[in-house]
Amino acid sequence: MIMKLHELTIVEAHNALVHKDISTVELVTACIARIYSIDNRINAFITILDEEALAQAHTIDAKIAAGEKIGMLTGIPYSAKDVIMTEGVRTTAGSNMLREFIPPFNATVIEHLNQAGAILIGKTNCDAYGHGSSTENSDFFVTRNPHDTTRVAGGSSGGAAAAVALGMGLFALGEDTGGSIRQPASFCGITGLKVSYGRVSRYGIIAYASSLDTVGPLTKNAEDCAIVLSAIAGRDNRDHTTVHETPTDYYAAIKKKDMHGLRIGIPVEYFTKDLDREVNNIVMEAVRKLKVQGCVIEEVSLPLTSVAIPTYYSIAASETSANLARLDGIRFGHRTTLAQSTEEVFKQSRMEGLGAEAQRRIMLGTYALSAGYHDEYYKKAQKVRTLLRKEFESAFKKVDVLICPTSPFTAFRIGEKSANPAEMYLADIYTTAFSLAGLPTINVPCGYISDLPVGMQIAGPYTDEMTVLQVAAAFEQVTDWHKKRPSIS
Amino acid sequence: MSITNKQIRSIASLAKLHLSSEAEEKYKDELNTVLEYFSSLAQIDTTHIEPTNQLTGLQNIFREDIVEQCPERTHQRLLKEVSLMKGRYIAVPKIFIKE
Repeated sequence: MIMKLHELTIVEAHNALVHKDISTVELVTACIARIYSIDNRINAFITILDEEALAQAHTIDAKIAAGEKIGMLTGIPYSAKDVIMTEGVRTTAGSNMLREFIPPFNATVIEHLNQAGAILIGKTNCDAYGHGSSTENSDFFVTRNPHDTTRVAGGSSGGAAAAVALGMGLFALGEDTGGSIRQPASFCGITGLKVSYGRVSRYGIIAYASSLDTVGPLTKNAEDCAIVLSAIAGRDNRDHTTVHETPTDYYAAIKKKDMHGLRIGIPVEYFTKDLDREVNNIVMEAVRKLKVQGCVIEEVSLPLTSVAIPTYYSIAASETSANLARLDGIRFGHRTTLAQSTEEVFKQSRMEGLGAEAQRRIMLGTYALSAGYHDEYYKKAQKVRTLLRKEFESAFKKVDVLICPTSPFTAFRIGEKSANPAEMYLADIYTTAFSLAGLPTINVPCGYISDLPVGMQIAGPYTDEMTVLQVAAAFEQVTDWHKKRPSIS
Repeated sequence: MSITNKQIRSIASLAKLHLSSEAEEKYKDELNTVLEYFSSLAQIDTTHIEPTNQLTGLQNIFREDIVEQCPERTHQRLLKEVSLMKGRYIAVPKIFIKE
């Protein structure tokens, strides 16, 4: 085999396993070797599970040898963002507060992947609690961009995106609240899907903002995304916000759509004169590639785009201030040794355990929810959120999908934006509106500027992951951007 | 309208955070910057608009009320996470303190 094992897609690895060209042990060994050879320069992983993963690989190889039929994910090595609970395996959320936390149970998504036979090889770095767009808010270390190690991998699921780009696992599970899968996928040149709110169970995920959080896959292409989504999607009795629909095989249907006549909306507010000219040109060139396949291109207007960021941060900060209240040194998290009273245990433990960004968002959210300000900030933002959703609903009466850039710029330098929180919040300018409306949105690589990847978002109506994946696959069929890998070795 | 030091101290107390005086100043400035940015929301007319409390439209989700046995393994893992135990009991710091 000419290709290196860690470079395989899920489909390729599956076929190689079925035809016994490779063994699960070889595949897992290759991905773990990759971590040990390059992750000291990248910092994608917080925890590596080599022994456990290899033991599982041996079990699966025995099953294959015994002639057992295997599923698409059987024996496929993957990583999970460190906000996803893994039984008996430290889960930190990227924070000092939970540095030693070992969950007693698995998140539903992990259970699903276990049942599918996928093999967890490690837990990946992120901004603590998902608070950030660069992993610079991880309490442990910054994940570096595989294409240029002086730059950020994006965030908050930066470790997950860097891992997939470099073949440290064939796919990753991430979590996206306001752009945390799509933006790092864009910065690292891979495919990443934010699912519709409620499509995938949030049970066992360390919550950031409960009305926005979603769990989804980061992969090398849209096909692989469809495979992982089919395994993790669906109703869960332990998460009552999961949507009630019969399970779908997204992979089986992903190539079955004729692009002819499919209507693509270009939201003009995402292509203003403030947008980097080269990013603009690359995304518009990508749209032309779809037009050649018969898609109809139409301009649409989403005037409330300009208030998506303040709406998002009002809601997200409010909800996170409530969610993180459980990190008090008693129910969860680090406990100070300096306190004499319960009140001091809370205050001192939180001060010692929570990083600056978590504290900042807790302060902001507590203010926005406090007496006298609740209506002005949280409730007001929830009303604007209703208007934003209506705006998308009317756009989707005219078009089938929307396409726009994922980020206004390519990966920025480490330290470039971390001094100014308000400026960092603007990094999410193109991703938060889709989160507020709960829409399925995928990042697809569509070009490069000075060797740094550019990604575009394809967004569809609520719960229509299928169309989003089909358009992404149609684009990837006529382009090679998703096949380009970082040159680091 | 901007946030004062007194307000910052009151928010920190509600949020159960000990803030140093430097942190107090820093968060005051940062919160004021962010809140000024949030003020653009006030310009959106939301008269008679219902707030979005949830997206799925689901309501009253029921399931059978069945007792599931907690596996011994989970039981042990849970207790391992407790930072201080006295015998079979979980110990927490004193709640009542003599003034």
